[in-house]
Amino acid sequence: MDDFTELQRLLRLKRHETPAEDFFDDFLRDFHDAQRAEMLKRSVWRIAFDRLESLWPEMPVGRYAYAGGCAAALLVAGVTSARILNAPVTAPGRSAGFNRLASAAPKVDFYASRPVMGLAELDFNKPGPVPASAASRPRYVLDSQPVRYEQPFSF
Amino acid sequence: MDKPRTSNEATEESDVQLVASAQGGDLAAFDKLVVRYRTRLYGLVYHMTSNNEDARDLVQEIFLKAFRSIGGFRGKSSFYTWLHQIGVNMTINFLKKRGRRFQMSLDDVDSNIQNDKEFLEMTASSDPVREANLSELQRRLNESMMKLSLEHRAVVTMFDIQGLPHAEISRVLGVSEGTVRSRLFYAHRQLQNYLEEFRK
Repeated sequence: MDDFTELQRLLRLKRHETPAEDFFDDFLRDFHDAQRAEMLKRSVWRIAFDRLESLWPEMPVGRYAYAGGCAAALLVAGVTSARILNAPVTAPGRSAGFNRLASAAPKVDFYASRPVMGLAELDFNKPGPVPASAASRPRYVLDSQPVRYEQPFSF
Repeated sequence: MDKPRTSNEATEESDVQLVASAQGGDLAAFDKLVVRYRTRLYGLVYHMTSNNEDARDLVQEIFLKAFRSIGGFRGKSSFYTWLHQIGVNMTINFLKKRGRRFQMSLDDVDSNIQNDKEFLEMTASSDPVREANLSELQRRLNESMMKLSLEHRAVVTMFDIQGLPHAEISRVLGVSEGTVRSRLFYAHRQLQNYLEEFRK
């Protein structure tokens, strides 16, 4: 059986290894200097980070554990977003959500209420609809000047 | 030099009172905590680093970090346990960054060792230690400590040198008591082997 009695006695003697009597003479003054220097140079972000870290003071969490946690959260959000965007669709070019919306909307045939006219039916000599009054005649103004209908050239 | 606390100092403010005052912005209260615990904290850091200059700078940093975080201290553990946690973590991080580049800068053994019962027993008995130069033994033991991993060195420092119980060490390190005991056993065996080479 291992006997560490002598070893442990030697180790206990190390308690007597102490610094010189004047070792701590300026300790508090140096600590105050360091306190002041730090408070002067701390950035707003550093202060915010320390406040956040102080919420969990008894956990030996390294500084970079917080960055790692944020990175992990961003990664999860990215993967989740990618899965939503790449979800399989039921109609080409359209997402399943779109198809659900389309199927719910009432079907309206925009062309059913207007007669279909072929080219043969168009009569360019027929005068167009005459406005009821001159006041209702549309007026087209370009560049703040009325449009002038010029006489066509005659050769 | 810090004086050990005695029963006559019962009228001094308790850690709980000083921490509450410091959390309220009383800088003098935090200064009292610094004076109260700087020597013990220094001992922890020094025995892990074996360099008194590094230990002094680190202790400053540890108290600075404690000052920044004092607002978040909830009193679930004693103030010194909390301070100890910060100290161990920062010392381990410092040593990891420093790597193997280090130079031992040992504190002198104070004269109180002459009155230490165990020291007298060891030097009085017919033991190889009796004939060894004390500073050489001190150096060898520190060299052996530096060969341990940081986690093993921490448990040896806290248990054997500082005298903390297993339960306290497990709270500081955030591991189970079983882990503390197994690390201690391994560390003791390693140190024993290193010192055996010295005795041959």
